[in-house]
Amino acid sequence: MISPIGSVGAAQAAQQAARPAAGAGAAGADFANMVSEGLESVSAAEHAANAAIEDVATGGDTRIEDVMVATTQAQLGLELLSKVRDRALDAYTEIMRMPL
Amino acid sequence: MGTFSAMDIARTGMGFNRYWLDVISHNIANANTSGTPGEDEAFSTRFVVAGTNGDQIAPTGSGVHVAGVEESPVEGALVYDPDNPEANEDGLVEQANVDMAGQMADMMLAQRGYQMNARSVTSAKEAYEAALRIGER
Repeated sequence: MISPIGSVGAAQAAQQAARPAAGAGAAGADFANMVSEGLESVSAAEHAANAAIEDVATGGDTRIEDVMVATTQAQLGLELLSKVRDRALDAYTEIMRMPL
Repeated sequence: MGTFSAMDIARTGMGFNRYWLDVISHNIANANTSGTPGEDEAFSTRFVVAGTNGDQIAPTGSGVHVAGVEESPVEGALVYDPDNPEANEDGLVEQANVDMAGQMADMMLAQRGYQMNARSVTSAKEAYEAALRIGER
């Protein structure tokens, strides 16, 4: 369920390749799409982890190892997304600091 | 192939070893479950069969699953105990065929297997975190 995050890197590469040709507007939309897709898959991972936790707490069949792996995956997915965001913001502020 | 294949695969290993521990507990709990020879079967030791998962999460495979639970074919020992309500007309009671020493050894294997797979999850997490730190200032 987390695998769509793998496409983040690919999307970024595609976006960087497209940027010179497509112009600022299209590249911005690409980045927004990438971030929102990443958010969706992170959210899906969080929901899966929440469902597992709830099942364990209410005496369901889910085992603790499944819960811990699901929560770890959700955490790593969120970290990956926030790193990508930080990197993009860094690039943006770097450009904004450029003396004109 | 998922983003966190190593974790998912190690999770199947943890699940299998946890199931193995469950079955060992069941065997030990039933070590005294006797029966009447020829009529009411005494408890027979259960063995877990491991199977490799066919559907691929990673190119190398996707872990392990419980392929089945087999009963030991060994006959339980016949003990002369005519006062036991389970004794047959010859006064014999069939004991459970649980080999305690073997079960304890299996329990150590299952416990270590569970710990190894848990360590796999930890190592995978550390590796992914190292990847997330690439290019950090």
